[in-house]
Amino acid sequence: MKKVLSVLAAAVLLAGCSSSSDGDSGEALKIAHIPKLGTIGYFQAADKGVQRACAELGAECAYKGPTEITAAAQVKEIQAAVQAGYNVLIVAANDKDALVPALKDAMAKGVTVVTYDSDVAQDGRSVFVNQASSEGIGQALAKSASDLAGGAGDIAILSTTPDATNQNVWIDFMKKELAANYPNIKVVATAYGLDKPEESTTETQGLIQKYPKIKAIVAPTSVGIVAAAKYVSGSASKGKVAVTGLGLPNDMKTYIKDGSNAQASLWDVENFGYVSVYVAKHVRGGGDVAVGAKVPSGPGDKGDAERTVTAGAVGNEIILGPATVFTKDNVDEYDF
Amino acid sequence: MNLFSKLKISSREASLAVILFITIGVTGLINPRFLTGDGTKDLLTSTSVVAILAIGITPIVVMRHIDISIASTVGLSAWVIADFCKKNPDFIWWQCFVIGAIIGLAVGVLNGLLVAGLRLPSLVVTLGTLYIVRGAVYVVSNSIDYNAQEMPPSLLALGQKVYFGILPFTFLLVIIAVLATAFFMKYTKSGRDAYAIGSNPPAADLVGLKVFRRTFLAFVFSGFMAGVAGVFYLMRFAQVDSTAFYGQELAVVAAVVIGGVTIMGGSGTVVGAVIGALLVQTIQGGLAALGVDAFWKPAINGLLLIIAIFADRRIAVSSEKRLLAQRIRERV
Repeated sequence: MKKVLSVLAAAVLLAGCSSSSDGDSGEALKIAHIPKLGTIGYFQAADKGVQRACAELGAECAYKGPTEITAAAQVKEIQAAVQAGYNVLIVAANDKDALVPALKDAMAKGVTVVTYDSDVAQDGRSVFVNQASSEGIGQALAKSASDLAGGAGDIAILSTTPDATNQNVWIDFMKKELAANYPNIKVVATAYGLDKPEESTTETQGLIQKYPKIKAIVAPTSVGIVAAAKYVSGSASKGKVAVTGLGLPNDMKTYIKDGSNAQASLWDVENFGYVSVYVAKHVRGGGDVAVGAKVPSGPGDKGDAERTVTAGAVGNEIILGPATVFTKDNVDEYDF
Repeated sequence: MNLFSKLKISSREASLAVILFITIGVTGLINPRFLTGDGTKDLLTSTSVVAILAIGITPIVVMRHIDISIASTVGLSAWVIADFCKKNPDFIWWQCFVIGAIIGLAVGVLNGLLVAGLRLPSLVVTLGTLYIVRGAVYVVSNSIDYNAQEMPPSLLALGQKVYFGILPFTFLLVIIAVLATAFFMKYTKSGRDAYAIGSNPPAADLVGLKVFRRTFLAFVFSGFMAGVAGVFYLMRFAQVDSTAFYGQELAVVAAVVIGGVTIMGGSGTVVGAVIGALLVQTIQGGLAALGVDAFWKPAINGLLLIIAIFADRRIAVSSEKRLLAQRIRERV
């Protein structure tokens, strides 16, 4: 799941946009959804969103999940889907380069390619749908931490390593958000659990021993948040020190509901699949996906009705929206 | 006299215990919360996995062998148990132990046959099985990971169980295992043979010790303990993926060596190995409680290891001198 959560860099799009040539609006959409791996809950949840959008559009949608998390397995699925006459591929790539030849072949045959969750190089697809923005994640973390701490008090951060790019960006945005909107929350320490349960647990113990007054630990890592919550739920600090961060609702459900005062944040994966279908439809219909272009979504979107194409860290992308905070009140609605 | 001397506890273990208590005391002075009931419970809980593995490999190291496949076995055991539990929601805690033990025994038998049967060097054999078993975890796991939701509540409850406010269930098992193994190593022929084999393997062969059987069983025992450690891992972390316990084998070897089990074989006890594991964990927990970054952990471990080897060497040299002096006196 670490692989799934790692946000891959978005590449420049524009080039290789094959959509306009056969943007026949009367044509039926035949969509193949090819995730990194078919068997895990994260992508199964995304496919629920894909199917929901397809039902709205009356499109034919198939879930073509490979049984192993390799580029080779995805290449087979891509080729098989093109053979079978699918005209849209929605792909979460296992490798940013290895899929490109197969995807270029597909596009040469008039197939529309949209990536989501993790991207390929720019000439392998028309557009990339990215998860929540880093700023949105930082805001969700800050809000969750403040809510759990009761609006005031000391909190600590449990990260992975000091040079982990994603974590540092999220932590920076969280600190900015705290400074701007939650002035009574103070970050007293940042510990590094190296994304391993062993170190994350030891560091959680250390944080609580060194800073007995902290009210919450924020772990923007799927391993760290579970390790921290597991430790707290079995210690004397249960109910006194809250845990939040980035994590899957299924991973955290036990601790969110056991009175440990835990929450988790992540993008809404089901809506992620839903939005990807509408983005693909837009591209298929000849719509513009250059920076600044508006891309409409469907009536069942849980976020915005329309998204703007932006320049990501390295290229153009469409961002899903703000992160969702999973609490004891809503966690049962999510299954991934 | 007392239990200590009967279980072959030398001054090495006693001095280690003193170092352990000084370390705990100093950390406690700087941060008193380290010494609370919760702090002690945390220390014992976090030592359990390494301690049970240290007990497992001590007989092997005493026999001048090594088993570095243990961390991979822990990973395989933990993942497969979680997978079984996910597919059989009625599973309860002891069934997890049974599955873990079977997996551990299987790896142990493989190692034992290769090392004892084919007489291959154990470092190379277990390096091979380290990769094979970890590869097996990657293949069977297929990137699926498991969390508390998928694990038997009875197992997780047992993982949280604490006696007298400080003694976790897993460490109770460690104590039982260390007493049983110490007794075995000291009072049975097989146990004493282990020291003879490790002191001088060719001589052990010549005098007709059952080297094959002893070596084979030592690897089976180590595998078994690694399988059990997989259950401990789940009880402690309630999460497992294909990288579970990756690369931790050397931490166990370090604990054993720091605990006074000579890497060249022939001496050391399981009591020492467990004290070594406690010492390593105390220092790490202490550093975290004092706010020192986790990056110092490997460096501190390495330093401890070198100090331990140095102490071993000093003890060996001084006892050699003493023996020599004694012999000279006897001749004069």
